[in-house]
Amino acid sequence: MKLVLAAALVTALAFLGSRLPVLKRRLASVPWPLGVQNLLLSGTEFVLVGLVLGHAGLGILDQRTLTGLFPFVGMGLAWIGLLFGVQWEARVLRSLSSAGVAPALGQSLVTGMAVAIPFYFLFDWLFPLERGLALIGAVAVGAAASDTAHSGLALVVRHLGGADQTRRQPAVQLLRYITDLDGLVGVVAIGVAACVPVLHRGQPLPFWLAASVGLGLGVGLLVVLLVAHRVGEDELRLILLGAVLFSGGLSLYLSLSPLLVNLVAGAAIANLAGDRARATIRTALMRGEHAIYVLFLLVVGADWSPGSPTVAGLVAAYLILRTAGKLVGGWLCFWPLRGQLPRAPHLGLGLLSHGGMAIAIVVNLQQIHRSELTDAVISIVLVGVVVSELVSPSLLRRALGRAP
Amino acid sequence: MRRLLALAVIVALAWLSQRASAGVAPAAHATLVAGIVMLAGYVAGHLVARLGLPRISGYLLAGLVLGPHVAGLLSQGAIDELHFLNELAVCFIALAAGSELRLGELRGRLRVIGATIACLVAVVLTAVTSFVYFVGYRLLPFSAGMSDFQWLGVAVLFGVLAVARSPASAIAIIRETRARGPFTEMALGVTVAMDAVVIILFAVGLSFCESVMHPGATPGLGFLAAVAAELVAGLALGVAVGRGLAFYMARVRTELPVVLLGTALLVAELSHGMAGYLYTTLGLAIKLEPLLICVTAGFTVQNFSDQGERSIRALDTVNLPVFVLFFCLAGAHIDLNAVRATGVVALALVLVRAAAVFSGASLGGRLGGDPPARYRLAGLAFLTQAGVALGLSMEVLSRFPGWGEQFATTVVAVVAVNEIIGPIALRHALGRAGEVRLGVTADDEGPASAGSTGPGEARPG
Repeated sequence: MKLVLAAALVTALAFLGSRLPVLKRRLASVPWPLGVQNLLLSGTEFVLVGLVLGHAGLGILDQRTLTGLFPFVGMGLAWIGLLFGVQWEARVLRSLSSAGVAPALGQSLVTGMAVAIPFYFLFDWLFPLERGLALIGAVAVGAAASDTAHSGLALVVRHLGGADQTRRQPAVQLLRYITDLDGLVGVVAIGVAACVPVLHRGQPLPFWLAASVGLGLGVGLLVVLLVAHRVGEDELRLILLGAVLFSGGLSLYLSLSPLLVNLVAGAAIANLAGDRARATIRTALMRGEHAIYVLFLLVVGADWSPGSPTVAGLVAAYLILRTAGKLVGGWLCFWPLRGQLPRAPHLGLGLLSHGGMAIAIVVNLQQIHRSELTDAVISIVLVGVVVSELVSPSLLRRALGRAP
Repeated sequence: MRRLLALAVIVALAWLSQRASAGVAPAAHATLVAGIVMLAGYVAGHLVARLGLPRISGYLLAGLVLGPHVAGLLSQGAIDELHFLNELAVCFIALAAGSELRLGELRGRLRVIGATIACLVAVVLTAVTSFVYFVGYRLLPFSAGMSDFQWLGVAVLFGVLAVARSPASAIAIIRETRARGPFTEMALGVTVAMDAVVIILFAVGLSFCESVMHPGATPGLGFLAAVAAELVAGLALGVAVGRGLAFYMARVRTELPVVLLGTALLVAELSHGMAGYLYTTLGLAIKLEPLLICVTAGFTVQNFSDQGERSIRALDTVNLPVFVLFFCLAGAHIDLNAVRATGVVALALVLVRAAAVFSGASLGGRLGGDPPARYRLAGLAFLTQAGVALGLSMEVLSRFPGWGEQFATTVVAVVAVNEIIGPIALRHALGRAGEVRLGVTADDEGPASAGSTGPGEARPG
């Protein structure tokens, strides 16, 4: 009974959240302190709504109820992975400036390493009973840190005036380009981390990595086969929903990463499906994205236990390391190309926005291995995302303001 | 060929996953099973459609083959994990059934619908009860030790359950074929109304059976009053839910499919929750029938608001996954062991029921003024049986644990056969009646748009 009431409540909230932008804009127009309006426009606020509904808050969504809602988490992870994967179309990638791809991924890698390496030692020291998982936890935190969200950029661009928008266009395009690509580092990292022997009773990493790629290819080929005939919109919805449930469920069942599996599946669809099928699949995925994403955030928020004062210290370390990583990574990777790319001297400030993919990465880890350490990882990244969403638009404005 | 290959890929992946050791992710298995069911059902539906059969036969077949009684790729535990989705699907389908009943079109058909219901009830109830009473006692071993009067009680229950049909199968076939016309209206009207009739008949039958099985017990007037209260409360709640939905559709308009699914979900559990609450607090054994509530809600939206066509379009966007999931799980529930165990008597009951359905429907059509071309086909529309009969047989099992198990096994076997042949017969009847409109889409049927989705702020990564 409680499960269904909770599911209905969560569905209603998900629907309201994704469908009432006017209400959200009104809320955001109120002069909130500390940049709260940025958070209200990013979508990340649903994590906090979930937290209020969950066992750490009002307890409307208790543990038993949440267990019943967990299929939405697997489905959400798979949907996010698939949507990310379908943009990896070789023809489009070839048309991109090859000079820009490496630095975009490079700054992400630098950030990931800048966060993961210190966190490995921190986890090893703070969680002595889970030493075997310290590396995986650190990789997950680094992978989450490496991603840059679209939300901050979308928010700032929306408020740029016409003339201003034209003037900042090259810098905005560069940032958009980076945010489109740099999630790849995190998704691959968590996909590889999910294959380590410690999570698979000692079986070797290459086997499970090959299984992840094989499963992704299998699901991608399956969707391509099924949409090869002309299918109606309702049939396409069914095929995508079935494929996402299947691959998300199977990945988690095998303790693999639904994000990596569906990235591969999405890339297979993008490169093997016909033009018409590819376009309709993308449209269908985009249409379903909002409700599924908001539902995913609500369940994640409700399952979240914010944790101890130690976690607060780790959050501070995370934010400092990530900011440093983005600033240094942005500078290191784009400085050599300063003659070929639009000038954005404080590019790193524009890369601090943090969002859904980062949350998906750490939730992925928590789904395949739940422990005190992975709970801490969730807390670090969720708080990090919330704080980043509060301040990153202002920093992004500053970065764009300094751009010529 | 491609679809066969796709089916092979799904089965291979499902088989491999079964052999792999499970991880620790909560609900991963339920998520996986839902995915397998949707994809395999979809492909099987397409494959059987090429043979001229309705797609739901393919969904049922996929469930049956993957299920615990054949390949075992879907275990009983896995099916039970999806019970929650199954209940949601039943309510959603009932909402769709109610929305398909248009009062304007039904008004001209009320006479034939009434006559068909009356004749079906009279003929099927009499024929099946008589068969079980006079012949069944030789075939059914649990008759041993019962008096004639007690055996009559059992026979009446068999008769009542034979009257039940499957609104879910009817609405699925009608949506698949986009059938519309006087025959379709009559078939759907009779099927949906029969649901309420069966609940009343079952209450009377059960009350009679209890009084003959336990001579000391007083015949349940209170029980009958509770059934009346159930029906009235169900109708009232259905009207309220329908009004609420119509208000939402008129004022808010967005994300209707999600809201309709949420409503079905809410009704499914609220009805159970309210029954529990009434029982524990007031001692009232009143069960609100979610099917009745949802049919009434759909009917209210269609006929007492101007949102009927909008609701049908919104339902259309979610219909397919719901149908595939529901019928695949129904297929997986088909108990071949029960069919084997009660082979002769189940087959005999299927034949007697089919003959009675044909006679009753034909007589009803004739009395209701239908032309011969239509009333000769009518019997084909009413063979389907599914959840209602199974649910009621479980009620018998809980009331009469001694012989109830063999009774329920026999009913399960009869329903299994009717569940498979019924949709094929209905599809054939709609085609012969000339009311199938394959190729017509929801958009061809009306002007309004059923909610839309589009990009907003919330985006991952």
